[in-house]
Amino acid sequence: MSAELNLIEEAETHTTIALTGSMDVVGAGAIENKFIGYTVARKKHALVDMSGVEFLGSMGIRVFVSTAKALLRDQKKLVLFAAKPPIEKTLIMSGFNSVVPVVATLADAKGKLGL
Amino acid sequence: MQPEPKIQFSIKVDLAALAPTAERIRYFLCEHGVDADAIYAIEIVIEEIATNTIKYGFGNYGFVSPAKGNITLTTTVTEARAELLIEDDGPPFDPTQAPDPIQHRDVDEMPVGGLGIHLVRTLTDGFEYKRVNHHNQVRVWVHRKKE
Repeated sequence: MSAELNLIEEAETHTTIALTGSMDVVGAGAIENKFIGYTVARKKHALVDMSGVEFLGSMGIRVFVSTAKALLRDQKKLVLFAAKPPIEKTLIMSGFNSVVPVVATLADAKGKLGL
Repeated sequence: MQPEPKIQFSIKVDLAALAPTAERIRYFLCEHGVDADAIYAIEIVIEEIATNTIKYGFGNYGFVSPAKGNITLTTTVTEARAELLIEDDGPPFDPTQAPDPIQHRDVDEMPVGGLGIHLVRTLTDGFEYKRVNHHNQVRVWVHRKKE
C-alpha cells in the first residue's frame, strides 16, 4: 500500500489536505513532491488529516519536519490532526509533537492556528 | 512441546521489497494472536533497520536495480513475545550504538533525519546487535499484551 494525497479545502489562509496509506520509505518518497506543492509552495498554513494513514516511519516524519521548517520561513505552520493511535504514538515517541501540533480534530487544528 | 511458530524471508537489497515482506510478517503475527501494538512495533523495525541496511550498508538508494547482498528476516512468536531477527552480509554496522537525537522545542532546530533507530529503541522491549560469521545480526523483541 503506497501513500496518497487529496486536497480537502483551499482557503485564503490555509490548505487542508488528507493523507492515506503507508508513509513508509516508498510511500513518503512517492508523495513528497506533491506534499510540498500543496503546502510549502502555497505559503499558507497547512492542516493535514492523518485519519487515513496506516503506517508512519521515519521517512514520513522527515517529510513533515522539512515541510514545517520551510513553512516557518514564511511565518506559516503545519498542523496534523486525527492520527490513529499507533501513528500518534510514533509522532510522540519521535518528539515530533513537541515542535509541531498534533491534535485530535480539524476544529482543534484550526484552533491552533486561530482560524 | 510444540515448536515456536516461525517464518523466514530472504529478500533482495531493494527498498521495494520491504512493504510486501512486512505485510506477510504482519499476517503471520496476526494469525498467531499477537496484539496490534506489538505488530506495529515489528513493522517499524522492518522499515527502519532494513531501510538503513539497504541504503547505507549496501548503498542502494534507488528502487530499480537491487544491489548485491542478502537480507534475511526471521520472525518468531513465543508465549511471551514477538521477536524479529534481521541478518545481512553487508559491512559491520551496530545500530544499537547510534545516539538518540536531541529533543528540541523549536521546529527550526529539529534535525530532518536520524529518527529511525530512535523509534526502534523506544517502541521495542529489546534491541541487540551481534556480528557473526561476517554477518550483521539485529534482534528485537516486543512483549505481547496479556489477555
